[in-house]
Amino acid sequence: MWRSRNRDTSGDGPARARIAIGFLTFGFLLVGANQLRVQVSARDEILASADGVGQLVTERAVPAERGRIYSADGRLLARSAKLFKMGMTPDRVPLSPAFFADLSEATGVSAAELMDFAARGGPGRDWEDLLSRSQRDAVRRIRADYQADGLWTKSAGRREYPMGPLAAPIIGWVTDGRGRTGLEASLESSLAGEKGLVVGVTDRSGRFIPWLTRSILSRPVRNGADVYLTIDSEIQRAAMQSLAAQCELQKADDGVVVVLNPINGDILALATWPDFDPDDPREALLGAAEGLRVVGPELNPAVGLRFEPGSMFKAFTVALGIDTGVIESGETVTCEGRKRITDRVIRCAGDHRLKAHGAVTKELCIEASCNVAAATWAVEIGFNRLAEMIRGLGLLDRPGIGLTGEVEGDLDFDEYNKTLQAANLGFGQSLNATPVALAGAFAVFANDGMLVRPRLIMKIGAEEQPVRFGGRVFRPETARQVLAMMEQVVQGEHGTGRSLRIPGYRLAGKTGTAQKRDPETGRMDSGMYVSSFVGYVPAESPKAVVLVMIDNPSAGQYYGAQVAGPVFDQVCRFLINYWKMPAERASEENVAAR
Amino acid sequence: MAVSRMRTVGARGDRLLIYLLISAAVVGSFAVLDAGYARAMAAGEGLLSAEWKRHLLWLGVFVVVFQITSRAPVRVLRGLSVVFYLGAFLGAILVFVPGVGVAAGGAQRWIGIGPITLQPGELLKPATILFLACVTSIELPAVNRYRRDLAARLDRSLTPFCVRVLPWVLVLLSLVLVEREPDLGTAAMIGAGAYGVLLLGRARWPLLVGLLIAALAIGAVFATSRDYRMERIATHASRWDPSVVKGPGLQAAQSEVAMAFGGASGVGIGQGRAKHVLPAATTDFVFTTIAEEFGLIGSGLVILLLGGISIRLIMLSMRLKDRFSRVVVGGIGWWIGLQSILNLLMAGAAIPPVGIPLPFISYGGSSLLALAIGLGAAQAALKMESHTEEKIAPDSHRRRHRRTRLSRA
Repeated sequence: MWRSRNRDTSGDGPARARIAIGFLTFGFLLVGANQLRVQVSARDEILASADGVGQLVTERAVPAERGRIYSADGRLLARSAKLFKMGMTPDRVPLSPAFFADLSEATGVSAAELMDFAARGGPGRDWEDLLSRSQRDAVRRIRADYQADGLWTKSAGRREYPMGPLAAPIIGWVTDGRGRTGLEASLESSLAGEKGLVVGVTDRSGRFIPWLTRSILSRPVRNGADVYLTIDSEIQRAAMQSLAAQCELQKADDGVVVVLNPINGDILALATWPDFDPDDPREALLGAAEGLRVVGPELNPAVGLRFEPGSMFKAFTVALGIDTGVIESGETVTCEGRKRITDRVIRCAGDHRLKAHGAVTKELCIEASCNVAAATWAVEIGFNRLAEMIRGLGLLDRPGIGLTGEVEGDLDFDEYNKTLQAANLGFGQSLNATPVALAGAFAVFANDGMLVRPRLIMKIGAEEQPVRFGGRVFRPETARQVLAMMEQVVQGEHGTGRSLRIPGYRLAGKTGTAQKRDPETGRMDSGMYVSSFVGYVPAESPKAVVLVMIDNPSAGQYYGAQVAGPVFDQVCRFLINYWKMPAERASEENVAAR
Repeated sequence: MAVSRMRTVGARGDRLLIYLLISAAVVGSFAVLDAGYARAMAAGEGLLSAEWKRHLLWLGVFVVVFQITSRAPVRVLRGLSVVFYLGAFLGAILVFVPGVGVAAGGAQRWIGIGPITLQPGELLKPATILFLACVTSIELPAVNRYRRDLAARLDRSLTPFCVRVLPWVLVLLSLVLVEREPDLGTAAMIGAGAYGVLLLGRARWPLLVGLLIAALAIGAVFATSRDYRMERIATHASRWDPSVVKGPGLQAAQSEVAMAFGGASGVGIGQGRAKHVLPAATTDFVFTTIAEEFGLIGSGLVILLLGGISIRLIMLSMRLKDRFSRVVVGGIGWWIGLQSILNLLMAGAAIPPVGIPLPFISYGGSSLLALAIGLGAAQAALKMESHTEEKIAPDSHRRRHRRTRLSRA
């Protein structure tokens, strides 16, 4: 062919051109046939296979925003942080250094790491580095600028707890977007809301194209409800701090403080110890698993542990004795420090020594905490009436304040020696109840004998949680009478709580020191105690009931007034200051005179 | 009568071809506008996308370059084709020079000259056809076997080498360069264009068949040599797999489903969904939006339009007597036809994605510039031939051309 001349005369040209035309004609016919296949003959199969893998329309869940939790005084206790994560699919991002440099600048992840990952290929991943909203927007801009389809951002699902450990026992925490414990878990369905669904066609950046969205199949997102608690953040803080200090000092296993409004049952503070960091509960979980802490972060002892109320129960015994007419006014019981009831001996103890109280009135029984008198009256009242009262006080119920892991109280109805059991109940043994239930029960004395169930959740969304009244337990005058007796515990000269006086204010309360049953031997003389104190501030028409329980103090002291008392004292001083309660001049003079 | 009609056709080149080209340009500018607004809206640019505005600018460039090229005398074009080729070749090298070369989407295919970026691979397509048409139409001087002086020796060795061997070496080199960018689709198109020159230039059949076999063999080696290419074929076959369809199979699957969605009559102007999803909605997959919105009717018209342009060119080339002109006109038609077929088959998901644009319709300055040069040259050749045709007529006043031609013969 090289020798062929410019001017062709061979006549072969048209033949070759015809071959080329034939080839191209064949090619275009092939294209036409393919279009016919795709657009007409195989159309339905293609649409079906596209539908089968979700390519015709995109279905995307719209995550609901988790509800916030607020305290009664409007303090934020939990909210979902507006934090994001960045992720990348290697095959679908440009491998240009400028892209990675920009991305690194926006996110703080090293450009070399990003580039290395993208160059290596394989499946996509996300980075743990949390991005703010503006950083997320910057990443989105980079994605648009570089047409980097393989770059994405997603919500990190983090939860923020502004009060940290101070509210952690109530709030709990969230793992992988679900509440693990506390209110986060028990209110999961309210807080989580309901995710929405958008069905439609998305553009390259993943946004739905409005006129191609199928509204019939889509479902709007319902964000989680905000929850408002009865907790006052300042009281909670004070209670947590006092409790933690005392528990550490007394080398206790755990401790609880419940501050309750006796009128409506609102829990103003629910402090527990040991505490934990809700942002990182792993350490606490590990500690519980290894036995370094008795109470793990998943157990709230205020509702999840049962304690014997001990001597503080005498207030109920005396109240029931008055109501049932067992104790007549002025009646005394002679206490010789011990009393045999059936085959057991009940003892009165004072500072580790046997103590004979002599002639004990009902006032002195409370003030000096006489076991013999309480047991005597309890036996006279009888087990059935005591048990009925215990039920009426809600001590056997779950606290029902909406926390996880709530347990019922415990009273053995099958005990054969009902007389001995009644005697033991008289001073608070052989009954186990949760601290919150106990606090609720003690509120009856401040509420003219009416029971109000404790309430922690005030409002879920717009839905007000009602105050639950439990009915009358004692006559109003009985309740007031017993409250006056409990004032003598602090203000009286024999009072077990006389160390807890606050000049200018009248307080009421009752100490409790219960021996704990040895978990291994089952014997009561294990040397383990629960030290408790329940008190009212002020003594006249109390604004708060404060229950302090400190479990197994092992620093030597165990009397309620010594171990639990100081916490009550600090919480009371805080409340007086916080609520600006006026001091009573007369009693101030009284105290000064003494 | 026949001659005078010939003259009017000749003075403007081929009228039908011009009409087809104008139609293609109109379809293209509409398609780029339609397919481009989705991205423009998403990016907040407004309805008129930046690429549409640039596309119109490049259409202006197309008209100017086409006018200039089609008015140039064929002998000038013949000489310039060597220069043009060497320029494009240099560009293909510059692509790899840092600072000049521009990378995007994981490939180094562009060179930046001020505000514009050019893709030398696109320019190499017409340049290779023009260049090979030129060198294969050079007639070697007759040599005296018995002369022993240096000039005669060179005439026997160096000149044949420069004319018959070196161009093919350069073309092979350019294929390697473009393939390395990497841009296998463009490299294959350049190779196919060169093959078209051989076919239309009447290379011997054994050579053509041998080359075809060699090309298939090399293609097979290429397909299997790099994992991602083999993967691409496997991916295409299983593009409806749930794991593939959102990743590597996205383009083909989305394009196919969009066309199926369009059906026979289409979903209507602007209503298509593919352009919102496809990354290359205005470039390699521009046909998808046309087929989706205008159905089989629209896609059939585009197929007829492009088939018409390419086959018309080859048919016109059959009339031409000048070897260079014939090969240029036919070769350009061959290139446009082949590239259209490949792009349309790819958009229709009949073959795995290859990165080649749809002539006239796809957005892309380099592609339009390459078409302007190639079609301008073809048009010039058609005009010229009609002039030489007149030579047969008794009254010829085109002596200048005649003399030129004769002097070269």
